[in-house]
Amino acid sequence: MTGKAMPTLTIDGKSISVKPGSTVIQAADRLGIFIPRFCYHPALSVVGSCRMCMVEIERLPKLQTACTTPAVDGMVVHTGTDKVRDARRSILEFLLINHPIDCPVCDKAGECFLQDYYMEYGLYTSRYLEERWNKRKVFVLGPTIVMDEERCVLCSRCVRFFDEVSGVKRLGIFERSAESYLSTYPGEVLNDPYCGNVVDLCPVGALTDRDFRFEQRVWMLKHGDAVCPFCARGCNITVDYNEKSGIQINDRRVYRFRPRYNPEVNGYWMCDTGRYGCRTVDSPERITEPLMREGKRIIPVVWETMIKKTALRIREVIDQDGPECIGLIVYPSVTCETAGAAKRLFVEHLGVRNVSTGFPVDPSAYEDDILIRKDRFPNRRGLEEAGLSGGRDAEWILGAWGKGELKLLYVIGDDLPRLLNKQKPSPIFEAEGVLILQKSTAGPEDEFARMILPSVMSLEEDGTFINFEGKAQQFKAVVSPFGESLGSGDILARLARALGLDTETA
Amino acid sequence: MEKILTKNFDKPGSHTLKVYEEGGGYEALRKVLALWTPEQVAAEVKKSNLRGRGGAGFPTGLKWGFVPKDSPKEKYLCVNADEGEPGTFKDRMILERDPHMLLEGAILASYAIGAGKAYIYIRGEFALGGERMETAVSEAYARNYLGPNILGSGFCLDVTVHYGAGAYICGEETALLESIEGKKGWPRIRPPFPAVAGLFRRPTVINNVETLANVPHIINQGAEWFASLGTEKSGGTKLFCISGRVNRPGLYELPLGTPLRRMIEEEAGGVIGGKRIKGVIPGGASCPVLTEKEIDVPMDFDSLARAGSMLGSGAVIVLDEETSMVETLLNLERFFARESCGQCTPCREGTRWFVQVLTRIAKGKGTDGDPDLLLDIADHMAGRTVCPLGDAAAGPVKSFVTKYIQEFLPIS
Repeated sequence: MTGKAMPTLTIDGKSISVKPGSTVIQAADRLGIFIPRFCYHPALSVVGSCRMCMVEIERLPKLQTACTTPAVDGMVVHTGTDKVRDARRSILEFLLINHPIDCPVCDKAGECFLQDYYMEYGLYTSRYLEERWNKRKVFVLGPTIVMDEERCVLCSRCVRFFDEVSGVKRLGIFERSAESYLSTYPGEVLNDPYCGNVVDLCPVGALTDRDFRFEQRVWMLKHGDAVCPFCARGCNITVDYNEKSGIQINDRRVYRFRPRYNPEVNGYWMCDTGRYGCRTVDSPERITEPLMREGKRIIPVVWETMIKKTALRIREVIDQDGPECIGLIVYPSVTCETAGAAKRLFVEHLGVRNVSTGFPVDPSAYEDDILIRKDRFPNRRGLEEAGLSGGRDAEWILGAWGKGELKLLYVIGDDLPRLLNKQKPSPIFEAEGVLILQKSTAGPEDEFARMILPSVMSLEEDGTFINFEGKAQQFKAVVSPFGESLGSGDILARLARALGLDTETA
Repeated sequence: MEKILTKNFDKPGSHTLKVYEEGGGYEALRKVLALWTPEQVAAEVKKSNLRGRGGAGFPTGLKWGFVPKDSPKEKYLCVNADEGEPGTFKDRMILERDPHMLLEGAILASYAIGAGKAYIYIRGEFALGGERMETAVSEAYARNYLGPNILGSGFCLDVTVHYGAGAYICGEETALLESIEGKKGWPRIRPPFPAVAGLFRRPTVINNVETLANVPHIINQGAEWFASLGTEKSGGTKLFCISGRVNRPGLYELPLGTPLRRMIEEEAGGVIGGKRIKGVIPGGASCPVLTEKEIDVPMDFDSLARAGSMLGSGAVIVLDEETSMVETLLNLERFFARESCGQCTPCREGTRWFVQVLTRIAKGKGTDGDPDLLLDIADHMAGRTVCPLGDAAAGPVKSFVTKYIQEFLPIS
């Protein structure tokens, strides 16, 4: 062997050639043969400490850990022999010695490696006659993370995450022997922008998310693929939701965003801003029905009326003052499809020229070289490519709006950074003209609005975002629209019809 | 028998450079630096059949040969002076009584492997040994046995004395490397092996104190002479630390292959009060115990392996007929449970479980199933841990419980 050749090995009768330097577990993963593991994670350094991934390799007398054993040409590996199953059983027995077996109240139950492996390889009668060791429970490590020391298997995944991925050493395993325990370094708090990932990484219920704690049994959850809308990275996520939670409007509730592996975008991770952005989906501030101002009051109306009245106001302004008196702001929170529909309707058919895609990226915003981008909108590139951004800047439009030069201002999409940071004031203020908002969530500018058309959030519709690197990511609706809200494109199509236009053939 | 390693031990001031030089000290170094290539030194050591004295008995010349010759990276020598195996006190005596012998060996080894930097990792509790080692290093620098261009040869070597902080596990070679690097003493997974990626991920050789102390003698008197002192496969003499229920406990330098019974009866003066021997731990706490019937074994690496035990560090612990094997094993396992680094599952959990079961048995609350349970835990630890501590803890359990099973069963 030259050392550069691809070694070919056989695992459970299946052959595979792998890159030199690959390990047995990597080869097995590629073959779709799952070898149980706790400490091994493809994105973290290999420590080989849990000893769960032991396999039998022909011509080697001892079992070997698959995560540390380099794949060698001609190697023959068995992952399901009695000896291997017995080794897995014994590792589980060791790990469960002081485990509280509190699955009924553990958030991890249902997605816990320890539980799953026990059902597969354990199922023994406990031989442990000694008293169990009570350790720290509900130990708060930071604003979002709680630790249960009794459930910890000391796999060090979380430790390595901070050391190697988020880059700041926060956690360590202290003491030695069976007295080893996981904790933050003295004075450290888990508050960096990626903390939530350690909850996903934790193979057991040791680290739980205070946001999700006791909220829902995971087997009640359904899962959908989505793209995170909270910055220009466009992390791929899994949305965990329940269609029949019994506690929300529409009876559905989104509980959790988790990162979904995509090597080209976000790897295995996502940031906490995106993760806890899931709270915005079923926020009590979501707008559930079309709203129209009548004098000082704002009252709900049916969609038919809403669309008719909105079209009427637009037509009035066009006829009386001309399209130069209409302003359009499309936030880069909308999909490429909505941007296209907005362009066809307002620019191409109605001749509106005062178009802006919101405010420029805040240069003082936080950004790092892991995931988080300064641009907190998901689709600025998409709007640019849709040709929406060549018009005015938002500053100019709001200036004209304030001076009364614009008779009607139509705003599409949500000011997402403001949604996440409520302290941030809305840039839209009271003026003479007609303010029409098409968005998902209530905000301070609503009191100036003549009409509010509730639109869905991105995970309630099909669409495409183009991230800052120019990568177009399509997604499907994961959950049903909130309340009576409609897809943004749908609203614009209805408006077009009410205006007597056929935007399909622009 | 001719004493080699301990020949200067009783001379007044044996730890000083003056006394060491008067006895021919650093002549091996002078000879090598003037006349020998590094390869010749390595070849001579290989030919001498010197095997590692830290416990595993790995051939030293072979170990040196694993260091990649053509690597452009800096290479290191680490001297393992973290002697912590219960019952062992031989390296300590070398540090205290003849530190220059060790230092000369370390310089020769560094020359052989091409290391420009050596670390002497001393157990933190060895106050006197550490002090004398540091003095020896300063003396050697003053005489240009260390530093730049040693004795005009062009060879440069710096030596740093580094102290451990009390963990037994740091005597495990990769934990030792982590500790020198300033990290927690957690053994590393292998591969990569230290010879390829050791200290600071550079090629590194880690040798025990006693191993290196032999090297100047091999250079001075030749590989054949050294090989002739031992058995067929392992050359030289061995320092044995005899302790337990014997009349004259202490450090004995004897040829490898000396029968264990003769060692106890003739060298150590037999068992106190003429009591019968119940068992002997032949090589330190981690070595399986031998029964009285098994102690005619010659004390060398291969014979003890055949007898199902290990020569280990040469710490002979003699247990007499009044010794409780349950209490003894409990004592050993308490040590391993406390010293387990806690990194890997079987060792971390298994050692504590041993202690719990043995404590129960010692209190008279054992069950019929306990011996089998102990053996089963041991089976699931041995060979399945990151480092040899799991084996070290499992070995005594297997041997004690099998050989003295009556003591581990409840009295019926």
